[in-house]
Formats: sequence, C-alpha cells, structure tokens
Amino acid sequence: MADINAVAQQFVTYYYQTFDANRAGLGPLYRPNSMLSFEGAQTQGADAVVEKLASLPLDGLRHNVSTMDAQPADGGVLVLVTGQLLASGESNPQFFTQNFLLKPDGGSYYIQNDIFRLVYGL
Amino acid sequence: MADSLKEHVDTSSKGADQFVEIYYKLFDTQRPVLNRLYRDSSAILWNGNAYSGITPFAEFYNKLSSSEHTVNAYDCHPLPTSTAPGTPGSMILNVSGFVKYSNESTARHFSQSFILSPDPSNGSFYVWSDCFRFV
Repeated sequence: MADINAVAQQFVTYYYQTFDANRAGLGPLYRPNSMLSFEGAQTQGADAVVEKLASLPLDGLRHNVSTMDAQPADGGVLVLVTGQLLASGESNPQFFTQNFLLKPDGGSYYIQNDIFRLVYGL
Repeated sequence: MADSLKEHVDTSSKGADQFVEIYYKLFDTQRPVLNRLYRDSSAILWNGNAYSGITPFAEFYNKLSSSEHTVNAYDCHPLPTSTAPGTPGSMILNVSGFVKYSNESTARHFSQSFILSPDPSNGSFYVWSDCFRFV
C-alpha cells in the first residue's frame, strides 16, 4: 500500500483547496454510496452531498489545517483533521474537526464517509 | 436497499449511543477495565503517538492523570457490510467534546475517531481503530 501519510496529506490539501475555491468541484471525490454528516445533518450520494455543501451560507471560506492523522482502516484510509475555518469578513476563526474514510478506486481514493463538526467554546 | 440502509443506520446509532456512554465512563471511572473495549489487533493513534494493540496503549493511558470527559456531539456511519439488517456491522464513529485532566487547570477540546467492530459474543462493539486528537 502506498505511504498512508503521503496519500492522506495529498488528499487533504486537494480537498480543502477545492472546497475553498469551488465547492462543486468536490463532486468527483464522492460516490453514490458516500455518506456525509455535516453538523448532524446526514446526506448520502455524491449529488446530494455536493448540493448540501454548495447550499451552505459560507462565502469566501478558508480552511487552515492544524493537524492531520492517518491510519490504514477497513481497506482504506481513516483521516482525522482538525483546523480553523475563516469566513471572509470575519476576524474570529471557528475551529473544526473532520473525519474521512477514504477508499481506493482505480489509482486514487474517494470519500466513502465524511463527518464534519464545528468545535465551540475555544 | 433503502430499507436495509435505514436499519443499518438505526442499529449503528443505538450501538454508538451505548458505546459512547460506556467508553468515557470506563475511561474516567474504571480505567483498568477499559482494555475490554480493545483488542491486540486494535490500531491506536493518540495525539500523534501510535500504539499497536491494547497492551502498549494500556501502559500509556494508565499513566495519565484521572480524567473527566464531557461529550458534546457524536456522529456515526454504518460501514457497508454483508451482515443482515438488525445484526450490527462495523461503523465509523466521531466524538467531540472536552476533557479535564486532574493535573491540569483547564479543560482541553478533543476529537476522537473510532472504527468499531461488532463483538459477536455479546452484541456490543470493540475498537478496531482509534484516533484521538486535542483540538
């Protein structure tokens, strides 16, 4: 198996760059069986996921990744990311934690499971 | 297909509710028994430190000061399996909250990601993978 940390790092960098620049571009990273939990709201399937992400009223978002952990799991890669979210015009960052389970597909990986939570009170 | 997914989600949710309650209760009040929730095959990453299996991990956590965890939120997804609905399959569980160690004056936020596997002997779950981070 390829170096897990390199795979996860590449993926995480690409994911947040795409999210911040053009959320619709995230579609190809999901499949019909992908599941997303965003702040407790659950969706399944690439189209529904992208619709959900595009509908979030968060413009000019920037993710700053603080930590990224990767482990091989269940035939794929389990990634835990923590970091900060900055919306344009806001000076206070929000902290977030996001959990991905990546599965191999051809030469690359897709997101089978995605769980996002904001962390309050920091 | 949709019905069996719903059943998987329901079974996983109940399993997750029970697991979260037991895990942090044991961690805080009965740490020596926490090892029952892990196996020698468990893969643990604790704030960047890797432990292969419960034995080295138990050595580590038994040295931590006593803790008090407060869980703010958790999410779980069932992982696709071929087990029949109503029979628990594996799940991914993400917990966030804060923890206060007795040797520190302020609580820390944490995020913990588990992959849980069913234990066929008693219908509960054990930790297949564990990734813990302070936020």
